[in-house]
Amino acid sequence: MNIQFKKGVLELLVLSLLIQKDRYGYELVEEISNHINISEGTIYPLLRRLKNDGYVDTYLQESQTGPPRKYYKLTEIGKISQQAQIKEWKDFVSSVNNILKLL
Amino acid sequence: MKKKEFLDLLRFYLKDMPSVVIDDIISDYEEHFNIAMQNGKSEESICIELGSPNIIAEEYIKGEKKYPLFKNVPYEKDAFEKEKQKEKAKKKSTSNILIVLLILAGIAIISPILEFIVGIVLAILGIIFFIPAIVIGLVLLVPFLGIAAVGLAIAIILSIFSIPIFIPLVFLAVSPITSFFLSVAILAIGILILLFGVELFKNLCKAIKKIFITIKWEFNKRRF
Repeated sequence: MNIQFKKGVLELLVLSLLIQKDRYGYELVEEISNHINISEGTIYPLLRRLKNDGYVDTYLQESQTGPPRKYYKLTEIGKISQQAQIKEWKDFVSSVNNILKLL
Repeated sequence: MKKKEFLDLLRFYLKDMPSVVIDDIISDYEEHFNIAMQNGKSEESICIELGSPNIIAEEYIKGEKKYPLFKNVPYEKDAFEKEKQKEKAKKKSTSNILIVLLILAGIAIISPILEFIVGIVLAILGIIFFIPAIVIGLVLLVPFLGIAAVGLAIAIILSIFSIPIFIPLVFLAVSPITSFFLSVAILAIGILILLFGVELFKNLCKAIKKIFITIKWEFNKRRF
């Protein structure tokens, strides 16, 4: 799969997974990499950037199986951004499909 | 690659960032390794899935670029390599100069010994060949052993106090060769002390700068 597609869409995927429910880092990585082949290590820098920009917040939650885990949740701005990016994606996909239909 | 090697490499590539940020980043990957290993994955396969620590570090550095402090971090690979090579070249030329200065300073210690040896050689030649040679050898030896020692002692004391003053009286009593080397040596020792002081000052400034960057980083973080 084209690397440019993957890079562009990663933020949309992360935000969308989080709008469904709060998740910890490994969970996000596994969900995405089960469907798309990516360098899993690049998700954490993305998460850090999202936190710095105020789209997500983090909190620690105890786990039965070891040290507490860092959970990510969307902020209000994060939710708004996710809605906007989903719309952008749907518009983009339908535009591309429209051109392809003509060929 | 094992977990420790991966984390050490990542820490290395991140080294220009404040240490609180580095620790936070590393703890994220520690958590990832922990959970992945609980789920039965091996350290090596986790490392392969995560990808190159170098690329990951680049992503972090790129992400932090919007903060004013980090505008100057060259994250393009070529610019970074060029910076490293420039630093290497600078270090080489400074160490060459240092070596030359040390040699010159060392001559202060060696020159009386050298002339002592020369004096002995000439003395031996005189014994083997001509009496005048003996005379010359003795003439060279005696003043050096006595006066060169005194002249050297005074010169060392003077250079310790960083006084680059050439006292004519001392040098008149000594052979011209020793006086030449001694003046050069005192100059070299003086320059060495100066360079040492500059290096000390530079390292002090670097340490203060790092502390300042960390404080500014925390301050900027609160603003966003």
